[in-house]
This record gives sequence, C-alpha cells and structure tokens, in this order.
Amino acid sequence: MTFPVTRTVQTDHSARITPVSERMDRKQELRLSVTIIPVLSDMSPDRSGRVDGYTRSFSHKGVILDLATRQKLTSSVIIALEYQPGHYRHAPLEVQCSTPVTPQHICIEAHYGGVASELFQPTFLRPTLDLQSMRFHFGKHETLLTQWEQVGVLWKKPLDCIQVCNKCGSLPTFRKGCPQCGSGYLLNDRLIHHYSCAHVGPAVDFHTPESISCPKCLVRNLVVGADFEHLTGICRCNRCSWSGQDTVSIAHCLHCGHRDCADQMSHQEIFEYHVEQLDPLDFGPDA
Amino acid sequence: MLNNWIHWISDQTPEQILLLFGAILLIDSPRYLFGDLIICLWDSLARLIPNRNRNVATAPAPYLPSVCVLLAGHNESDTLGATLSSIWGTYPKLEIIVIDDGSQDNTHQVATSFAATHQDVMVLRRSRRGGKSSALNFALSYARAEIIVAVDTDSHLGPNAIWEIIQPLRDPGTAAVSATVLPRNPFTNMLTWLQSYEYFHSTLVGRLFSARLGTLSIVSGAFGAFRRSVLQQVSGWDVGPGEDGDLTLRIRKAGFRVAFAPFAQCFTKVPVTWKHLIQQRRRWDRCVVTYECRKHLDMGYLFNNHNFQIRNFLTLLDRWFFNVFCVYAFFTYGIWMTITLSNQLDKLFLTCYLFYLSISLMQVFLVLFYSINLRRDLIVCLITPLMPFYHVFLKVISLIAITEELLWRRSFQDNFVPVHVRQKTWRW
Repeated sequence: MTFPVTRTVQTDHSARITPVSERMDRKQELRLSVTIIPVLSDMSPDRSGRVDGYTRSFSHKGVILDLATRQKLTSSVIIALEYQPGHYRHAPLEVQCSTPVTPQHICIEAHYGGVASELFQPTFLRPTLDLQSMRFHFGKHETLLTQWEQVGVLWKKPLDCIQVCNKCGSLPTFRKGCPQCGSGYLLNDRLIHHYSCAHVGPAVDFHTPESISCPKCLVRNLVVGADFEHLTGICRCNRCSWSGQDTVSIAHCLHCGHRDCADQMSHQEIFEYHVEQLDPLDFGPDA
Repeated sequence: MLNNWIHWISDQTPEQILLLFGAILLIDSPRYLFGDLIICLWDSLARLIPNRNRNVATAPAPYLPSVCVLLAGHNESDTLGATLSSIWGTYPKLEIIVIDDGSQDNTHQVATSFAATHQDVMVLRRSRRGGKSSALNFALSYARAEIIVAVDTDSHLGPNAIWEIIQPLRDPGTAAVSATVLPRNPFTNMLTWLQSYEYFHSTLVGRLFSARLGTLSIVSGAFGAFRRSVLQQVSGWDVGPGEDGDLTLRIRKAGFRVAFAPFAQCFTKVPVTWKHLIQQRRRWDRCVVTYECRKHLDMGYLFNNHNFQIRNFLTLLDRWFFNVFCVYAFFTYGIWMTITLSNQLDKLFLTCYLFYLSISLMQVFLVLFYSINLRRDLIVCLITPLMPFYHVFLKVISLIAITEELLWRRSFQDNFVPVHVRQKTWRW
C-alpha cells in the first residue's frame, strides 16, 4: 500500500538555495508516506511487523514518524520511502523513544544508524573469494542478505559470469595446454624470421656471443623488428606425444583436481546486492 | 587477295623469304620445334625397340621415401580444402604441413578442421604475413621426411602425382624435380584456353626438352619435389618473387641435377582476366633479369670460376638469348620490316601468320604425342590459330617487364612480397 506524498513545507523557488550546512542543522517538517520494517536481534527483517506511516519532521540526525500501529517496535528499524513510483530508498534507524498518540497511532523519534547499518556496508554486499573453497560467497551474512532481498530492501545486480568446476563448483585455474592430455607442461619453439634472406630457424642459432647474426646469410648485428621477427613455432607436450600450434585453454580445479577444456566448464553467474540508501537531505525543501 | 598474295610470295627470292621469317623464328614456339621433333623420334623409337632390361624380375623396386608436402598460402580458404583432399592419402608415407601466412580469411580454420579429421597433417600459423619463401622455410624447419614436395594452395594434384614426381630422385645426383603444370580452369574463357595451350606446350614439351638437354632451370612453385638434405644445404628458399626459379638455380650451382617428371601432373588456377595475366607475366619475366642476369650471373663466368659447369652455362645462355635478347630483337626486327615493307604490310603479316601457323600445327602433333588425356588436349589445340597473336601479346609484356626491371628494378616493388620484407632484402 502506498500513501500519497504531501509536502507541508512551502517551497519558494524564487528564494536563494540554502547552504547544505544550514539545511543539515535545520529541522524540516515534511509529510511523506513511509514504511517501517523492524529489525530483529539477529538483524533479520521482521516481516510480520511491517508498519506504514508518515514522516512528521526530519533533520540530518533523525526523523520523527507517525505510525499506524499500537505494538512496540524493536529498537532498530529500516525506513523505506518511495521517492519515485515503484522505487524505494532505505535507511536504518535507531528508535530513541516511542509515544502513543491515539489508540491506533504512535509517534516515534529515531536517529539514523543502528545495528542494521552495519549489515548494509558495501563490503558485506559484494561477494568475496574464499581461498580455501575457491568459491565466491557473502560470508556469515549470506542468509540475512537473502532475507532482506525478499522483503525488497536489497536487490541483486549481476556482477560477472564465471566458469566453475563441473564437479565441485569451485573456481578453476586456466592455462594453455595440450589438447590431447590437458597437460600444461608444453615446450614452445622460439624461431626467428630474418627478412633479408627469408631464413627461418631456431632463435638459438641466431645468438652469437657478440650479437645476433643470421646463420644463412651471415649478416651480423640484427635488430629485432627492423631486421627480423620472432615466430612462435609448434608446442610439444611433455606428457604425451602431441605437438602442434593450436593449444587449448585447459581449466584445472585446484579443489577437487578435475581437469577439462575451458569451454566445457559450467558457467555461474555471480551477483552483488544493492541498496538504495536514503539521504535525508534529498527530501529537504531546497533539494 | 589470295591471288595477289600468291603472286607476291612467288616473286620473292629465297633470301627475301628467309628474311621475312626471321622475326618468327625468334618467337618461343619455333624455338623448341626441332628439339621436340628429335625427342619425339627418340621416344618413338624407344617404344618400338624392345627393351631387354624391361623384365619384371629385374626391374628396380619403386622408390618410396618418406615425403612431406608443404602448402603455404595466404587467404586461400576457397581452394585449400580441395587441394588437401587431392593430396592426402595418395602416398603411403605422406606428411602434410600447411602454413597459414597471416591470412585474414578462414584459411586457418579450413586447415585445422582438415587436420582434426586426417592423420599426419600439421598446421602452422603466423599472425603477420611474411611472404611465401619464409613460410616455406618455416615449414621446412619442421619437416622430417626425406623428400619435400612444395605445392601451391590453389593447385590440385593429378592421380599418382606424388609417386611420379619422386621417382627421379632415386638418382642421388638429382635434387629437384619439376612437374607438368596444367590449367585447372582451361575452358573458363578464351584467355584461359590460350593459356592452356601455352602451358601444355611450354611446361610439358618445353621442359621435357630442357630436361633432356640438362638445362632445365625452373621447378615450378606450383608443384615441385626436392631432396630435404639439399634444401637444407642451400638454406631453403630466398625472398621472391621468382623464388622457385632462384632455388632451382642455386641447387644447380650446388652441383645437383634437376629432373622432369612428365606424368606428375598438377592443375593450377590460371588468371581469368587480362589484367591478372599481365601482372603475373610481368612478375615472371622480371625474374629473368633479377636472377639469370644479376644474382646468378656467376654461373656464366668462364674464368676463375671453380664452380663452372657447362650445363649451367648453357642454361644461362638459353635464358639470356630467348628471354632477353630475342624479345628486343623481335621488336627491332618487326619495326624494321614494317618500315621496309610499309606498302606491303598486309602481305607481310599474312605471310608471317601462315608460316607461324604451319609451325604451330606441327607442334600440335608433337604435343599430342605426349598427351595423357587426348580428348581434352585435342580441344585445347583447337585454339592454335589464335596462338600467334597471343605469343606476340606475351612478347609485348616481356618487353615491358624486362625493360622496367633492367632500368628500375620493379620486382622489388611487387606486392607478392610484403612491404616490410622487400624493404630489407637485397636488390640484385
């Protein structure tokens, strides 16, 4: 349910814009419909305790709210405010005092912050790589973040699509390897093409103690780029008899030891959580 | 008209008639006429006289060394697959190395997909084009077979071509073998038809004659076989264009013989437009100056030359005379005759044409003597009446090409070799 937003502060557009420092100190009276989500002691959302209400006033320190409920709120809550149709911004609040106004309404005064603000730190919202399991995860807050996503405070944003091990889902390592046995132990021939005489031979044949010389035409002091270029010859596998130029990308899982072509590995989408933070200055008369 | 000409020709003295035919005698075609006749007679007699050594029990076993085919190509995805199919499986101990010389098309994909389904096919690739010579040298460094066969990626091999081309290498003194190169597209248009006859005559009968004389100076880049040890001894191919002829001369200078295998046939794609034909022939004709007149001039040194060989000297003389001197002589003679007989030009040209045609018809019979596919070659020979004009056209191209090479060294501006390579190579 969405309350209509009505501003009680008259805005004079012809007046000069108030400096930010003054706006932060001033208490603004503004009536906006909001939703309050109580935060339980384990920092999970109290879905059944969700309450609708209005702002009475706010400053940079906190906000005074009229809520349509009789029950006592938890000390930590989340305020959700619709700033555009269908789009909400959230801010964690620490309830300072709660006063019954009518039998159906209470008035609370709350400051920004509280335990819930720790949960929405950017470091918790982005997955990190666990070097033991070689998997991306959100740590101990993973379940909590899922719950907050379900109530609409957080939402998932795709971060990357990565290749993971077919067997254990861990992040594999990649290397150019033998297409037959998958070994990464390849010996690569390094050749030199001398432009002047079209000779192509192993680089070691060109290296003399004094300079780089062509073994075919005996020209000395060759300069790379101007006189010759390096060519990549064929690779030879140390484990099997394969040789060729077309190596393949081999993925090797360090967790379970599974090895396969990189294009045969599974794809997994990883994501991060986003929260649209509510900045009280955005709702001031000069904003 | 005809009566006038008969009266005119009957009024000429024998010396005058010989003078008329002088220009024609300098054209390539009659050059081989007498040689062709001698070889035909020799081979005919050889067939008639029973050979006592032709006994199955005493006949030598076929020469079957290991063979590696090198295919160097740049942007040849259209033809590479068919070329590979025509080679693979035609010889028992055959290895194929494909070199993708910096192609921007699907050449590498075509080669790798073929290699994935066929054994003993290796694919090499380099990202930047470096030219055909270095591409072949690149592959040569990985070839382990005794015999190296170089094939163009736009050519098809005939049946048993590999087997045929390696048989002359049984002789340890022979290090290179030339093959018969024929057009793959002989009847696409009039131009390819003309070239078909030319190839048929020059590469088959012409090379047969040169090989018998021991003066064969070209192993075509389209299809040729080499002994690997000799290739390594002469350090492979040098920078082109004309790297095939250059390699042949270097092999000859190293003291080895060059043989010809007439039944090793290769079908290559010939130019279908006049523009491309002119480009190709200019490139070929310029090489005579680059190699025979400059780089390998030492083959003609009679004195203070410890490597002097009479066959090499004759090879050089042959090229100098027919490919350089005759070109200039032909046009000088033609201009002189035109000025001298300016009031009887029609009769002069008709006389020359009929004389040339009669020589060409004789050659047709000689050429057909060596035909493998008589029906196809008979159709090819139907173009003979137009060959005099075609040969004069080729002479004009030769004149331009030789002159520009002699004066400006145009071969070093040819896009056949990438810019960064031709800027660094030596200008002979």
